[in-house]
Amino acid sequence: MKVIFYVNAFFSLVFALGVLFGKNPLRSALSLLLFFISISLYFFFAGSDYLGFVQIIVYAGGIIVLIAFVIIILGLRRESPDFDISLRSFVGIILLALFALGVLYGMGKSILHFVPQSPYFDTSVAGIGDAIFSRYLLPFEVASILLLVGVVLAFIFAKKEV
Amino acid sequence: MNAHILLPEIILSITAALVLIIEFLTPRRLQFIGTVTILGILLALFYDLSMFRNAGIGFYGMVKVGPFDRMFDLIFFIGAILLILLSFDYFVEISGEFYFFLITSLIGMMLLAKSSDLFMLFLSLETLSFSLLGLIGILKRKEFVAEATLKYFVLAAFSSAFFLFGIILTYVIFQTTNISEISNKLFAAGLTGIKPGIIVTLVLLTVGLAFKIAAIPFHMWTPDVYEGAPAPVVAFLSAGPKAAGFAIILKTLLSGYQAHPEIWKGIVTYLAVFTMFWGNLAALKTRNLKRMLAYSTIAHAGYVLVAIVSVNQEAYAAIVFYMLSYTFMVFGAFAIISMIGDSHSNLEDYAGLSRTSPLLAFMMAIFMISMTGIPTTSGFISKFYVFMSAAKTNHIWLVIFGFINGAISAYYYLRVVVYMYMMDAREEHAVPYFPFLRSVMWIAVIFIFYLGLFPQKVFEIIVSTL
Amino acid sequence: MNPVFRDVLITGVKIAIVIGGMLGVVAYLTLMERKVVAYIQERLGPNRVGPWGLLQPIADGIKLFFKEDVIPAHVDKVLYVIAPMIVMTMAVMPFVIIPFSKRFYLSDINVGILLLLAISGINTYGVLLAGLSSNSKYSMIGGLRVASQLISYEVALALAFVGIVLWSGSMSLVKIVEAQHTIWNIVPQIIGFIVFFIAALAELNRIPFDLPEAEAELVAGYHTEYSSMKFALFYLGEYANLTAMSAIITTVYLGGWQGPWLPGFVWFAIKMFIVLFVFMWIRWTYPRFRFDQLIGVGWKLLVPLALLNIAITAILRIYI
Repeated sequence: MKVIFYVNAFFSLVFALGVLFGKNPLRSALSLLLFFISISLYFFFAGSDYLGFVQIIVYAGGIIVLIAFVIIILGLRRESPDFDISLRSFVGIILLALFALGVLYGMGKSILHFVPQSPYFDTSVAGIGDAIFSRYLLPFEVASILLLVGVVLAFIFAKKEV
Repeated sequence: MNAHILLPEIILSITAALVLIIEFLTPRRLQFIGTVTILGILLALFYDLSMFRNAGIGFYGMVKVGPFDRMFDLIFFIGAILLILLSFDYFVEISGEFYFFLITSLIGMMLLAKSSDLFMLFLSLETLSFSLLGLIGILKRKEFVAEATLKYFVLAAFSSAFFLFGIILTYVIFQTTNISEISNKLFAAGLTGIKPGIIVTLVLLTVGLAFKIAAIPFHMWTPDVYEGAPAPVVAFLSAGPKAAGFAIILKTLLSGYQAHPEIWKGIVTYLAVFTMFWGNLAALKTRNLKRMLAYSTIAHAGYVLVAIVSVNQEAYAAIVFYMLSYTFMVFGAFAIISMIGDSHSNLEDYAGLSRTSPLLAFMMAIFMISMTGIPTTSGFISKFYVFMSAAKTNHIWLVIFGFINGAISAYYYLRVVVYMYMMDAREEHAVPYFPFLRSVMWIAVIFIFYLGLFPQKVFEIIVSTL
Repeated sequence: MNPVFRDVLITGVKIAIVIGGMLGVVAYLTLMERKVVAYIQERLGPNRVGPWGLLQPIADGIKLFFKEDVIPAHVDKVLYVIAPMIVMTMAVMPFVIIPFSKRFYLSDINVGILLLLAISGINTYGVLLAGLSSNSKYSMIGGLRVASQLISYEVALALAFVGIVLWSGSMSLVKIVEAQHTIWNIVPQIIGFIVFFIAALAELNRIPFDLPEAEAELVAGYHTEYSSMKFALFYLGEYANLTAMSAIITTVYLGGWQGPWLPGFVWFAIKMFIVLFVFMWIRWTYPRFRFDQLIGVGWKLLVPLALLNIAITAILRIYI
């Protein structure tokens, strides 16, 4: 099991890099799709089938299809130019690497010390339903407002007249 | 569950739905929808005030409401009502969804000020950002609006990512997202329990927040958004959401990490100093009034950060007072900018304003003087409270930096006055009469002088809510 | 024998039976379809290869297998090759969780319905990629149409499933079938069934929703540029999808293997073939929708109906 986990971790990294360095936007979108699927595997490892499948349904089944749509309709099929390592991007990469190292170092140090006693989570469908309608009721409702705002926003920006 | 403590938010949500339905049935009846919105807001305000002293925890610890949070609500309500008044004259014809976004942004801000859980905080922050996107981009065909909208969208998403990352790592370390539980665990851990991971989360959270309040070096979006967005929206942007940004800082840094303020004080001190200096120096160079006010709002955020560094009760009150008075100043200034016209906001366009419309020039001068912080105006008093709190906690250097910056800012604020009174206009044209814009201007002036001359009463009320 | 080895062996045999059986059914569905259409149109249908044309599918298979495999010059080769594989794989996958009889199923996962939705989500990519990688305008329009159609109707499909989950109190297909012991879901969930059936027609790209491969406009839609075995994979995938969808409808709405006297497996087969026949019947009876009508039906009719169904189901669950 552990081996599969690490293999999956490796592949999610590969797919994530594939999104960044893919020459063709469509290929990048497909890398993103594979990345999302590999992310869903983490949920399965954590024993939460529900979240794993929801991850696939929402991201793989919905969002990436829409991204692919945009790519097709805008005709973004031209290959993007090669990455040029200018001074600016070089500095950016260095800073990003330092930042990532800092985060890794800090988190690694802390997780060793703060021994996590993992709180029990019922990740079955019923458990998640209970959580949504009790403890997380308000975030759930606010998320619905947020989604409504998003829908109206998309509508406003997409319609023809102002 | 204690649902009634969020009654104002619930009323506003219903109003938001109502606005959408009205817009669907009778499209583009701006004043009607605006009136409905104002009625909804007033009803919410009424309930907010009637529950003013009721403190409580609700929704399974997701929100924690006290009178101090309702003080922030008051600022948001004032901003929203003034924006609606401005919108009646400013917008000729827009879709009624504008008011929907206004209400949802109000809901987002109010929940921000009340949430006691990082998860909740993030969701309300996103609601706010998305709604603001709608407000900024409502005139999408106009020049620069698309640029402003896109910039705000990308950078808001970027900063939210930082914030979310910080929240997740906080959860990893503390096994909870509840702010008071985090605070308890930190108290229990003691100073030796501060692990590098906590610093990491703190840095990430601060980066996310610094974007929201446009602190240096996360301010890049401000000038472009301020230049492109409609003037009333800009006024709202620098009043309500900025106050909401400070509300989150109070929530996360001051109550979450209150056990050990020294671990974040350093970061915020540097932020404050750089923000003040950079904002003021950049404003010196700008000749566009909207851009200049964008840099000035960055500088003002720096002053408020000074208050945050001096962690004491008076500083909290000073922040609220500052945001309250800043709301009136900025709305007054942008009411006049709306009258002159968004696309005529270069300094040259204001030359000779004292001759064509002396009243407007005089009012603009008052707003500029108030922003500089000259006595008898509320700008002076609010700066006074902020620096008082800093001085009391021995942050003398910050106070000195603040005074230097006040002097720098006088140059570019008063330059506007100089242009209005001492330069000749290239071409003179009369400014049309806008009843609603003028009413906002008068309200702003009245409150600036009220807060400037009799601040004691308001300040006492704010202190009593702590 | 080592118990782990035995388990693996038993599962392997089960998988072989299911896949083999399903491919057999799929092969003969092509014949069944042609026979059904022939009788609907008062013809005889294929009757030359073997008695009643029974060997026709084998002949077709051999023909397709030995045809030249043409890969056009400007295609995106990797995606072009992967696309038919995705279609076929995703068509077979639902059978993993479908209970064929009381004891015979490959696996019972407690979120089975979500697996079905996930599969239909991934399935979209098969046709979308086929359309895109072919680098031909007919394929591309076909691919776009099919993707927009699939994601529109997936919403209705998922919402119809929500009604089932509410009614049965479980997402596991085995439990859903068991819950239909007294009454089949089609009775209390009749609105949901109608929505599901129409959405299933659209998901399968069958008339009246076969816009993606409307031969009058698009030659053959997304698989215009495919030939030989790759074309056969699409063709078989279509029928495999049809079989899978019939099996799902049987399981979810028609009581699965439940029925008197006869063994469960036979009941399952009878019900499944009735559903298959209805699918074919509809195909050869109705004309095609226009594309805007198709999207309109999905969003403005089926989704509200499915939501209504959820509300009714919730009320029934509380008060009954």
